[in-house]
Amino acid sequence: MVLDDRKPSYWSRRVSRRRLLGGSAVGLTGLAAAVLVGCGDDEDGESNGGGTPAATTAATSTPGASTSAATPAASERGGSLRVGLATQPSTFDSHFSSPGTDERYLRLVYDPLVFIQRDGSADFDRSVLESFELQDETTLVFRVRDGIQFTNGEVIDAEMVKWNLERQLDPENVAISTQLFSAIDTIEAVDDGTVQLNLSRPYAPILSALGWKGGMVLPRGVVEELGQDDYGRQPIGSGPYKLTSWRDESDLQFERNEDYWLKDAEGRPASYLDDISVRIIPDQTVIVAALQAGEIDYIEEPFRVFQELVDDPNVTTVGNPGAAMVTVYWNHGIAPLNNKLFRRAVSHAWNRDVFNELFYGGLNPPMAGPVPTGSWAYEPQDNFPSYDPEMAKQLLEQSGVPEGERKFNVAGAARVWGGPDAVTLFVDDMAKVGIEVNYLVDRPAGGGPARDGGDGMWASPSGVSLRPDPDVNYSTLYRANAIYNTGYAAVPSLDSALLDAAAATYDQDERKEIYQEVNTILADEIYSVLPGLDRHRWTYVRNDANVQGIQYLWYAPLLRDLWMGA
Amino acid sequence: MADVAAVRFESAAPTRRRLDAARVFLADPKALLGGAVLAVILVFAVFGPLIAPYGENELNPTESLQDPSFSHPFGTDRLGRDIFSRVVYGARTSVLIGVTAAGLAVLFGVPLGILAGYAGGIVDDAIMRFVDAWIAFPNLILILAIITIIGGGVFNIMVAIGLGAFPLYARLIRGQTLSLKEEDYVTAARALGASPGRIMLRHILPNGYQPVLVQASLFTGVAVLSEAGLSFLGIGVQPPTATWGIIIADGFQVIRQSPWGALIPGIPLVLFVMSVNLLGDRIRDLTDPRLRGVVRR
Amino acid sequence: MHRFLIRRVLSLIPVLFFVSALSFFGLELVPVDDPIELVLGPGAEVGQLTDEQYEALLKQAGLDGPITERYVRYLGRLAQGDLGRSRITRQPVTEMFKDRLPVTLWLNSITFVTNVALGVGLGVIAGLYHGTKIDLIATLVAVIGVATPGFWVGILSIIVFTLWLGWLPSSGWVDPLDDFGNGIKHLILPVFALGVFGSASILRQTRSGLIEVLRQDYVTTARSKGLRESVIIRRHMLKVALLPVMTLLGFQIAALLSGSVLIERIFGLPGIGRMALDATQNRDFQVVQAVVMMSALAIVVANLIADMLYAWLDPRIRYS
Repeated sequence: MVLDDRKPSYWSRRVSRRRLLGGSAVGLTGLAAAVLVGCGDDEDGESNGGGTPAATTAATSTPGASTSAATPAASERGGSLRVGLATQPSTFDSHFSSPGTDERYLRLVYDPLVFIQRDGSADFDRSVLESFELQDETTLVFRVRDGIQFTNGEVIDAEMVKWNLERQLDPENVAISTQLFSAIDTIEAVDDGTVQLNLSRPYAPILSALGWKGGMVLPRGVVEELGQDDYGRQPIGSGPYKLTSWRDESDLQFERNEDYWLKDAEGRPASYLDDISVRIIPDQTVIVAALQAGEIDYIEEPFRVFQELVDDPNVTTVGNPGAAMVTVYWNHGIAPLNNKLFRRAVSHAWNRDVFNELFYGGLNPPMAGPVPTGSWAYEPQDNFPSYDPEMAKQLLEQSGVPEGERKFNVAGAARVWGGPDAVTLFVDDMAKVGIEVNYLVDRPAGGGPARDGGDGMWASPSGVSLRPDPDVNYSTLYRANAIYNTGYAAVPSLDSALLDAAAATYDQDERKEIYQEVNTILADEIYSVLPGLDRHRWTYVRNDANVQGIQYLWYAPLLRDLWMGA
Repeated sequence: MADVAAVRFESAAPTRRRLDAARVFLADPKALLGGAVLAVILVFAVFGPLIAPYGENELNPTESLQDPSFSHPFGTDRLGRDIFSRVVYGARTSVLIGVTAAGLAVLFGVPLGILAGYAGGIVDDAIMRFVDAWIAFPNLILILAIITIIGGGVFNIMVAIGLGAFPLYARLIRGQTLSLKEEDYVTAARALGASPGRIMLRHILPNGYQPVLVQASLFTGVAVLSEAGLSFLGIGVQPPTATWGIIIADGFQVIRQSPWGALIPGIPLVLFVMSVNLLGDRIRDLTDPRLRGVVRR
Repeated sequence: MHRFLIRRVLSLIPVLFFVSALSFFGLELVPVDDPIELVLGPGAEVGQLTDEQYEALLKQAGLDGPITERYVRYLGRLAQGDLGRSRITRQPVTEMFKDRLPVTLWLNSITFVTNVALGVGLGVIAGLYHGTKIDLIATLVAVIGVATPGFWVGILSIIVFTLWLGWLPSSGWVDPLDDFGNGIKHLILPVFALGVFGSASILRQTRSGLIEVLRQDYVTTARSKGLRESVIIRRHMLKVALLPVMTLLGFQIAALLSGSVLIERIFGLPGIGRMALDATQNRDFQVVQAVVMMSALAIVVANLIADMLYAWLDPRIRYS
């Protein structure tokens, strides 16, 4: 039985698992890659159920590979995939969904207007809009694909697309993409099959925006009939699967949409599985046990369970590097955080390597840049202050902040930090250089930061996820009125004009150059967030389920394109 | 039989009774054991900082998750902190919270109970129905709701646990008040014009407090268990403060890598509650009115 | 009997009033800068709402108007089965209950039955063999059981039965109606952890109740009448010994519900207890309020039933 094969590290007394610290982190990306390869080979040949492990599929270990590369053979269609996830969707009303974890659910049920891939390019074969023409810098014309229907029969035409977008421009509704769509002036349904976007200024990220949550197409009739709250629980989409049941905090069931408009080579709907059942299991110990016991086939869990599962001969581990960063949001508008040298001192004082070792098993290396590494705009910055407590002390002296005032509050940690212990470690690091950090455990973590510095909220340990377009990451963090800029503090030496310029040109190389300037400034000033670790995400699949087609789109893997091999 | 002996002792004069009570009290092996264990735990609680080899929050990341050894008798947690030291420090916080919560429960319940018993009539009815309603809420769920309102933190936990438990004391003291208020000296005091407040404070309370005291002592164990549960759930006491519940919670997170953190603190917890129960049972046996003669004073 | 029943039900009314009032006012006491936070949560984007939207949201949540009026409307909503909405998922709380209740019910009812069976069974044995080694062991077990926190027992059992021996799942929920065997397998450890305290305390009560009874006159009378020992046990002593258990039915259920919060957390069971815990941590006020109200209601009903049983059992054993 499978249970016998399960030997959690401690209980089998594998000393190698217990790594002692010394020196700096090994080149961990290399290590991780090596481990991935290692997973593919079953040294003892005892893999249960056989089948080719998924790690050998090209798409898995390198993000950004073209998604259309991997498709199943005809004989590999079908099957029921049992997925275990830690959080359920907050809503299926995609336009108002805010957690990043919602995306994997939304993409099962909906199609985006434009299918944007991780490297930023668009795949119009898989988009609701079948072509795109840039008439001029502020006029975009799209052809709507003919014949796409929702599962309730409503048709996607230009009017439907227009309604979907306008719904999010409405200042009364606080939609997740409102800022992204703020560049849109008007939307015209030129005819049944043509939509024209008139922008108020040139704005390159608009395509990515149409590929994200705001670009998902919802059926107007049902949404208006049920109202936003109730619709969010009973979605209707045009995507590869449909939601057939949802028991709160327990499970969700999806079935193939037999009328899915996107077909594979044989003309059948490009939803390869018969059904997908998702069990919601917030507890890591539980979800790992369920995977190992064969109750579920696929889980996504972070680093903490990596050590349990990487040795498991029945499980294949697939990595998604650079999907997010572990950070501390901070209010650079309040003293002493408004002092650049103080901020740099904090950054020098933080021992990210130990943090990585203890809480992430060494799998999330320290960062040296202001956006997640998976973004094409990321480059490690030489001037980013890395661990050097002596330098930290010097900077504190130079900063002019008197000893009694070298302190700030930090709120309770978000889940991504791995618990209060992680913050305790951070506090300890700061104490070693003479900075007093007051840890307020009960304050909810950031993500939605406390705005008024007046109530003393200085910093908040949390994470930043990779967004479809770097402009989204930069804008939500580093503009003066950015949603994640705690305290709405100004960013003086970062010329917002730089960010505007980066968004205004449609040439990706040009954009990348501008972002390098921005990155250098941010590595020096460290506004808004203190970058910590590069957060990798992991997917674990059972070998006997032979799950194929695992690809990562920014933050989340795509469930929609999975299939189970023969 | 033991009961007869107890009755014989009870009918002696008050001062002699107290001395004999001490002997009888210690003569019971269960109570003796309980007393001994409790004493040990209290010693750790009081002298903790002197006994513990390491600090409460002494991080040592290079020694993360070690097995018990000579230098770390209970092993280390994820941040390399010595679990033995943390358990010792945890004793003081946990015990403190337990005792204070019990005290607060008495503080909340007794005034209400005396008032209800003494006033009688509709005041009594209203208060008792209110108390009945309060009891209807499951304890932990009630505490969660209270914490939602007043927030977390050490003091608020004590208040929440105390608030959750006050009905028992209200009822106990009310029962005592009902019977005591017919006593001669109360009637006399009233005839002399004493105010109800004075009567309640000077005459009823000093004579009726015993069952409350017994129950409150027993409750200390329950309160410590409640606190352990709450801090296990991550509610209340702030890390890096050590309470037994928090150490268990930390240990549970890394249970597959090292079981010691999750396992060890349960032992002093059980020992503490058991010894409190044994002692409390003994006290209750001694003060149980059924074993006494008719004479009360 | 009928009069007794009616009297008891009538006396419930003030209790129910206080239960609902406390649940209602509890929400009132939550310190927020702006009542809209009770609907949208802390740090809500109040500035982005128009005055009409603001009023509409308040009205929808029943937060407008003077306090007595709000209370009455609250009662009205309760009567219609409207328990509010979760401010996080926007889902009606009643639906959340529907999804989660079966989990807690399975857990609690199986635990309750085993508690009574084990507790009474062992308690009777301990009482009958009062003073012997069997009694000593049983009492020791009970004393430890009453002092041991359920969540720690849960952790211990995971360490032993899952990590070390690998026999049982360390958790998750499988509906026994879908897959009975697997479902029960997932409930074994949770029931064990949840039930330790309850069975231990029932054991103690049954034992002391039985010992009391053994001393009473009417047992001597029954013995002197020549009735066989087992008949005596069955007819007389058991009923009397069960009485203390009966009177504490409400407490038992309350303890089970409270214990469920911890057990469901440890074993990953998506029940009501877990719902209450998540709601507390997420400051999902309406959910907390609903759980508080409904669990109190359940206890009140349980107490009523217990009183009925007590009254029914009591007259039959009156010998003296």
